[in-house]
Amino acid sequence: MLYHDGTWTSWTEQDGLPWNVIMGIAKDEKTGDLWLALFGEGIARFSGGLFQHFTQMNSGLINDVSYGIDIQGDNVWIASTAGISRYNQVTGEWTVFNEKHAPMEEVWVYNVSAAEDKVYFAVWGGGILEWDVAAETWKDYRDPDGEMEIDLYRDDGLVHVITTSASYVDDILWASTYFGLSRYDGRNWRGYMDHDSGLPSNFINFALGRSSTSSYNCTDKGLAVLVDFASDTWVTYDKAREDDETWSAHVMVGSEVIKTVPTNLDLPNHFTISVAFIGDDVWIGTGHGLARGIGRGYYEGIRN
Amino acid sequence: MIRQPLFIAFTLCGLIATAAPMVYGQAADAKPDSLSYGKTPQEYRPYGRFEDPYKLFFLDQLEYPGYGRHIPEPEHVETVKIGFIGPIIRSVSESVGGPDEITLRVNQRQIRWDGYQASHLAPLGIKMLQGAQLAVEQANTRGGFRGSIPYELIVQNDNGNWRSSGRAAVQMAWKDSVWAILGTVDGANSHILIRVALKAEVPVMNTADTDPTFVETSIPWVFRNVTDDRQMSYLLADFAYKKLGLERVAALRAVNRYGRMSIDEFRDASTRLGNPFMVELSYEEGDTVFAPQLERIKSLDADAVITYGNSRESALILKQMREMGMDQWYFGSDRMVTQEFLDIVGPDHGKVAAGFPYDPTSTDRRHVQFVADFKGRYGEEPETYAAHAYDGMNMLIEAITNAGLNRALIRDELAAMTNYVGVTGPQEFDAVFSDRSPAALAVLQNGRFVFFSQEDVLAGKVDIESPQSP
Repeated sequence: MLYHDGTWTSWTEQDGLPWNVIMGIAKDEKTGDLWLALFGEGIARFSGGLFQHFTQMNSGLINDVSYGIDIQGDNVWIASTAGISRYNQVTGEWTVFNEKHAPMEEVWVYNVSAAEDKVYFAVWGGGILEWDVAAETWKDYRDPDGEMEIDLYRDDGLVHVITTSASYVDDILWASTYFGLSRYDGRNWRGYMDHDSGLPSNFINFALGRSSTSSYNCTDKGLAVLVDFASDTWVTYDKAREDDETWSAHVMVGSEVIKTVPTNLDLPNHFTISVAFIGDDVWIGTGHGLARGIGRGYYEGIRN
Repeated sequence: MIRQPLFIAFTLCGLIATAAPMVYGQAADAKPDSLSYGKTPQEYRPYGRFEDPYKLFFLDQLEYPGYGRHIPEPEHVETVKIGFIGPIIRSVSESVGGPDEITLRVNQRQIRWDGYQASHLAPLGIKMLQGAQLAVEQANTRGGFRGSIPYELIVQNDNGNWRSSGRAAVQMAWKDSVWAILGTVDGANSHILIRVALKAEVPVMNTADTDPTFVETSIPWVFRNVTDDRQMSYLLADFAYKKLGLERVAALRAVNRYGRMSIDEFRDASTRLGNPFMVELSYEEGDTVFAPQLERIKSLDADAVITYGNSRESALILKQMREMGMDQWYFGSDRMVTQEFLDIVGPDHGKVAAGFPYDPTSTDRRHVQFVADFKGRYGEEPETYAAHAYDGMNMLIEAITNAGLNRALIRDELAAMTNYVGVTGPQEFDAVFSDRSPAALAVLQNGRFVFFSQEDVLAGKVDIESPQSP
């Protein structure tokens, strides 16, 4: 669906969309093309009103079960269930990265996030993979304790290897897992879980950094916003009770609730899946509905 | 201000988008407690001798707080579809339709398959399919869903190439619109399946993958009714180190994911008891000669060898060990408790033991009836893959019966089944919906496997002094 100037436009399979189940969208700012990650049907490029379909059968795509897609320079990066594919839009060259070409203990890639100089991949069971664009080298980040059922120390590294997304903003890596959130500044790690932070749940579907101090985290029990890293200030949005008509915002320091205020957000379910920033606005995708938070300017940290 | 266009991905459908007495000198705290995931005894816990972890996972039951419970049932369905995915094509040579397509002979309907989609795990998958199908047929004989709508098994082949299994799962979830899925055997394929199930929000019952990490992913849509390699490894380690007093164990395992993941818990248990492996060697699937690895192990004077791999390779390793004069204990996984293994190793098998997820010689009335029904339907004996698939499919059918046609509610019903008594015995499900019923120990005696309970092993009732070979 496209929202533009107050109007919605949609495309379905009847309109040429190859497959209705879409896991990710990336816009190429150079060409204006849209790239779609199709779940079980490869990827598609939407350009000039037409869809071009890429699959294992007609391209160098490593697998048709695509979980995420992003653009870095001329390259389209695809996170798939069998590894990573890269498509160079200028040369038409496809490159495949799996356990034979990258430090992958598992190759089930769950998400991709491209920054100017790095591309990050959330690898299910494999932690976070970092691609250095200039050096063309890989680096991997995993849970140092090496165990699935524990986190030995809070800040020793990635909290868990079951990662769901990565976001690199202002030289800070935010990594979400189904076991909590991690922040990495290139030297120090910080772990966040539901008992020690504003996270309402450790089950984080997606995380998106807004700055070096702030990240938006889509959990199965609401949206948790780390507003200010330095003061550990959070605002968590959820439905406090199942029968509440609107969501509440809980202002927290660490896991302590300082204040709860009502909001006018009335989506029926707080299983949050995705979040995006458009200007000052924040868009939130849930298991049953989409919300737009209208911003009045953005500033880093807190004022009071 | 110029508004930027916003593109929204429709990511999901529906989006606007007890512990047995301890003996053999175990520490007093060896028994599991309420803070023990996977019934892990204190002495086997990671870092248990050094540090309390900052966080323990998998102690609270997984929740699904998302949308879906309010989705109404479809007004009309001709059948209630349940998906099945497993390796069911053994080889092209079994083809009845030529090399390009073959007919599945055990399904309710005649389905033709690409003959190249073959898997060496097909003997296991076919048994699994037979067990699942028997449960469906019996449910339909009882009247089907709500007494009038038949259950229908939608079958997908898992060809062992997990790159294709994900797509097969997408097919079942969205195009076939199944209400739940049962499958599969291979650990990698099973992981792929549940990652799709998570996004498709469809319940998955696994009855065959014993990889401990399978359920350690926090996916609230996944259930497993077979005792895993964690439980089997603890029992095997208790037997090897506490009962037999062994100290020098060497490992020789398959290099594939099954060998890599399944040996983890036994290796860790060995280390934590102060007996780290002397060496851990590997082999490729399909290898037939193991002399180089066995020569090295022999030179180390190991007092036991453990393997994790498929039945055939496990048997060939043992046979070659004995031919080389290596008479030490040989341990392995449940995959070697097969007739194929016995046929290859012959009478000079020596001392052999393996973990096993249940007692297949049980005289419980449910099990006896199941064996009779299975033999009546297929003319052959069931085994573990058939029995667990039969139980798993019956759990799915019971959940669908109680919940109606709503995937989230079916999930809730399955999550509520914390205890279930099936043909494989009483099953006890933990916070991540994995069966934690005690493993059995299969000991090879006089050419056949004899099964001992956890209590038998811990109480010293396994007679290790009697001849292990005829």
